[in-house]
Amino acid sequence: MELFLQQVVSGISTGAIYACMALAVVMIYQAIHHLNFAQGEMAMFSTYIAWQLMAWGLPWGLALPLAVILSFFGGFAIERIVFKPIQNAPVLSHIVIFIALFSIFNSLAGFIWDFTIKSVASPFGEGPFMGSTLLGKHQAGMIAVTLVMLAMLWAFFQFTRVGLAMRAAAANPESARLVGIRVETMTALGWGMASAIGAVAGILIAPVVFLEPNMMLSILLYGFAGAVLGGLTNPLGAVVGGFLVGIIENLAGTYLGDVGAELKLSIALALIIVVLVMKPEGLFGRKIVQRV
Amino acid sequence: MELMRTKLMAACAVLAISTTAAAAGTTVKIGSTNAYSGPASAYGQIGQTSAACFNWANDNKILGEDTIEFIPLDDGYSPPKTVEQTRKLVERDEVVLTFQQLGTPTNSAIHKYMNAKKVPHLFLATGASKWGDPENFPWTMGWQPPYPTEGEIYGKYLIANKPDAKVAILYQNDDYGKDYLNGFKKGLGDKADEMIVAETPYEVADPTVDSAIISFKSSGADTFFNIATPKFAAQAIRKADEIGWKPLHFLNSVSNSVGAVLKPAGLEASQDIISSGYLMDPTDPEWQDHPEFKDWLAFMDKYYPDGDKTSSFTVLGWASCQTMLDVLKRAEGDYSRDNIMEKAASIHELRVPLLLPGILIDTSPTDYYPIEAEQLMRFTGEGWERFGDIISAESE
Amino acid sequence: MSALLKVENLTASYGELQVLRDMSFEVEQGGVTTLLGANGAGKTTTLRAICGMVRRSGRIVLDGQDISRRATEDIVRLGVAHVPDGRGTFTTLTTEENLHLGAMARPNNKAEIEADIQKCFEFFPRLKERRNQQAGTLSGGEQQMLAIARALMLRPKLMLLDEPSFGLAPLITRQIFDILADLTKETGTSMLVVEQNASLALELADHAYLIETGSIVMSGSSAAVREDESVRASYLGY
Repeated sequence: MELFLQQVVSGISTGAIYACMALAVVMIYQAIHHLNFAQGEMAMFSTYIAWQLMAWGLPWGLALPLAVILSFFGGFAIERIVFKPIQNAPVLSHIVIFIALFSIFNSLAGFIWDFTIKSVASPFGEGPFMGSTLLGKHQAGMIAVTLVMLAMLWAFFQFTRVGLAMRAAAANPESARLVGIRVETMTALGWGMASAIGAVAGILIAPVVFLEPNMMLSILLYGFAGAVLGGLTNPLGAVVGGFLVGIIENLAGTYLGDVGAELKLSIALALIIVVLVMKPEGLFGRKIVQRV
Repeated sequence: MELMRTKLMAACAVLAISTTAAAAGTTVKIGSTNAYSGPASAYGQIGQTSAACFNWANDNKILGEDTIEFIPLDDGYSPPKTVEQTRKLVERDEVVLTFQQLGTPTNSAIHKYMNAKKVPHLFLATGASKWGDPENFPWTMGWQPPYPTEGEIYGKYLIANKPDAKVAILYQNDDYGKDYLNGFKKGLGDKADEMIVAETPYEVADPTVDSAIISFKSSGADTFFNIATPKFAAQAIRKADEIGWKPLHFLNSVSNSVGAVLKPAGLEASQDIISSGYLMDPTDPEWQDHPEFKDWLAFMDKYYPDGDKTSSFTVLGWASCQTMLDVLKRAEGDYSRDNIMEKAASIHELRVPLLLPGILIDTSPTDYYPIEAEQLMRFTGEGWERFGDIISAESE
Repeated sequence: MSALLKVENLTASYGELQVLRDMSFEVEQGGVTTLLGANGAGKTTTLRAICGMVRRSGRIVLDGQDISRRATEDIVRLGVAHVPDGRGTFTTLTTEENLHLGAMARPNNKAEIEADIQKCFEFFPRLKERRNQQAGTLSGGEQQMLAIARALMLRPKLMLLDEPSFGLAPLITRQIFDILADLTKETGTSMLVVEQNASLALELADHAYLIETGSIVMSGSSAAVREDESVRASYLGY
C-alpha cells in the first residue's frame, strides 16, 4: 500500500509539472490555434537564466521572480517579433518557426552553459515533508506552487478586465476587435504568460531531473499528452490531464512489470487515444453550443 | 655583398637538403571522427589529445623518418555525419586506417562499410562489446575494457564477497545498457536468477528514474547496479539517498565522473559507491611522482596546454595513441592495411603509459579486446580510492 | 441637422473583387439611416468598411474626425459600435460577460458600467433572466438583443446594425425594432441600419439609401423612398 501511495504522490508531483506545461501550451493554442513545440525549450532556457542569476549571487527570492518576469517579456517579444509577421501564413510556416525556435534555444543553452548536468537546489529544502514517508519537501513545494499559480490564473481570467479581454480575444477575435480589444496585444500577452508559466515549471522540475539543455524534451511531450487528454479548449482540463498523465505514467511503470517500464509513455498515450475516441473534445473540453 | 650571397646560397642548400630528407620518409595518413561540436563535445578532448600526441611523435621521430598525418573530422556525434566524414577520409583522403573514432551509434553506422572496404578501424573510443568480433568484422577493434567485462567484474566481486545479495538493476534500454547487464549476469553465473530481485529498464526519453528507485527500495534489494548515463545515474543516486535506501551501489564507469555526476548528485549521497577504472586518475596523489605521469604532464604542457589535466579524457587520449604508435612501430615501414591489421591483432603483454600498474594490452586473431582488466574503486570523501587487485576477465 | 458620419467615394474590395464602387452617403446626428438592398448588394461590406475591417479607399469622417485609415479598435474607441451580421456573440462566455465586454473601450469606471448593465436589463428583461447562462445557449432573438445591448454598453455615438431581422421570427423582429425606436429616442444614439426587410427598416429610419451591386441608386427620406414605385415593386411587395 505504501508503495502505491508513494507512486501516486510521486506521480502527482511530476504531474504538477506536466500540468504547468499543458497549461502553457493550451494558452497559446487558444490564441493562435497552433501547438508551440518550442514551449519546453523556452522553459528550459528560463531555468538557465534563474540558475545563472543564482550563480552570480542572487538569492532565490530575487532570482526566481526575476527569471519569471524576464521570461514573460521574452515570450511577449517573441510573439511580436517572430509570429506577428506570419500570423496569416499557412500552418507549415508556423511549424517551421516553432522547430527553429526549438533548435535555437536548445543549442544556445548548450553553447552558453554547456551540456553537463547542473544541480539546482530546491527552494523548499531537502528531506521529508513534515516527517512523512510519502512526500518530500520539494514535492510538496511543487504541488503547492502549481496549485497557487493555477488559482491565481483562474482568478485573473475570471475577475479582471484584462483577463476577460484575453478570453474574448481567444474565443472570437473579430467580435473582440468590434468591442475595441487590441487582439494582437492580447495574443502577445498570452505568449508572455505562457512563457512565465513555463519558466515556473522548469524551475520547479530542475531540482528533480537536473538542469541540462535536453531536460524538458519529454516533459513537454507528457504536457502535450495531458493537454490533449484534458481538452485543448479547456485550461482547467489541461491541468487535470497533466496530473492524470503523471499518475498513470508512474503506476504503469510500477505495476506492469518490465513491459510497463518500457512502455510507460506508450500506455499513457494509448489511454489518451481511447478517451479521445469516446470523447473527441477531451475529458473536459466543451462542445461549443451554437444556436442559429 | 659577397657574404650575403654566400649566406643565401647556404640557406637554400639547407632548405633543399631538409626537404629532400622529409621526402625520404613516408607519410602515414590516419583519419578519425569525434564529437568536436554539439552536446557530446566534451569527448572531443580525447581526439585533441591524440592529435597533440601525434605531433609529439613526429617531433620525437618515433617512427624514424616516417611521419604521421592525423586527419580528425567532426561528426557532432551524429551517425549520418559520421558516415559522410568517414567516406571522405577513406575515399578522398585515402587514409591508411582510422583511429579512435568516438561513440557507439556513430561507429555502428560505419561498421559494415569499414569492413567491406577492408580499412583498419582501430581502437574505437567506445566500450560496446560488438567491436571485438574478429570472425564477422575482422577490421574493427575496440580499445577500452568492453562494458560486459566491467559488468562481469562486478558480478564476480559480488559472488566472492556478498553471495547472498539481493540485487536491483537499473539499465538504459539500449545496447549499452544491455551490454553491461549481460556481462553482470555472466559474472553472477548460475546464481543470477536467484540474486536479481528487480531489473528495470528506462528510456532516454523518460524525465526521471525516481519511480524505479522507489520500487527498488520496496522490493527489499540491498544491492544496486546503476547502469545509467550521467544525468540518470545522478538522479538515481540522489533519489536513493532521499528515500533512505542505502544499498551496496555499483556505478558503471561511463558515469563515474566526480564533477559531472557525483557532485550534482551530492557527495554525501555518493559515499561508498563502487566503480572501476583501468587508467591512472590524474587527481590521485599516488601517481604524482610516477615517471609515466610526469612524462604525460610535460607532454600536455608543451603540446596541449589547453587540455583538462584533471579529466580522464586526456589520459585516455595519450594511452590509446601510444598503443597506436606501438602498432605502427612494429609495422617496420610496411604501412599496408593488411600488415597494420596483422600487427594490431598480435599485441603481446604491452605496457602503455598511464594504464594502472598490472594492466597490460593483449590481442590475438581471436581476441579483439585489447584491455580486459580493471581495478575496483570506492568513493570515499571527495575522491575515488582503488582497492583490491586488478581483476581480469581475459578472453581467449 | 449636421452629419455625424460622412462617407465620400468609398471603394472596397475583397482581394481582386471590387464590391463597393464610389459610394457616398451620410448619417445624421441623432437620426436613423437605413441602407436597403438585396443579398450581395454590398450592405455588409459597407458597414465593415466603415469599421476598417476590409480594404477600403475614399473618405470616411466621423464627427469631424477622419477615420479612413484607422484600425478597427481605434474606430470603436471613437464611439462606433457595430452589431455584426450573425450577432458576433461570445458564445462561450456568459451573457453578463458579453455585456462587460461591450464596455471594454470605455474607461474602467465600475459603478457606471454596473449602472449601464442594469439599464440594459431594463430594456431587455429576458437577458436579465439569462445573465449567467452561456451566451451560446440563448435563442436567436435573445442573442440579437444581447448584441444590441452589448453595443449600447459602449455609449456609442453611432451604432451600426447589420440585418437585425436576420433569421428571426416576425414577432421577435417586431419587438426588436420597437426597442430600437425607443432606444434612439431615449439615448439619442445615431444609427445606421442595414436591412433586407425594407418595410421594417423604412418604418424605423428617417432617411434611406438603396444599394445595388455596390453603388447607391436612390436616396431620400424614408417616406419618399417608401412611396417610390420601383422600390415598392422590388422590395416592398406591393
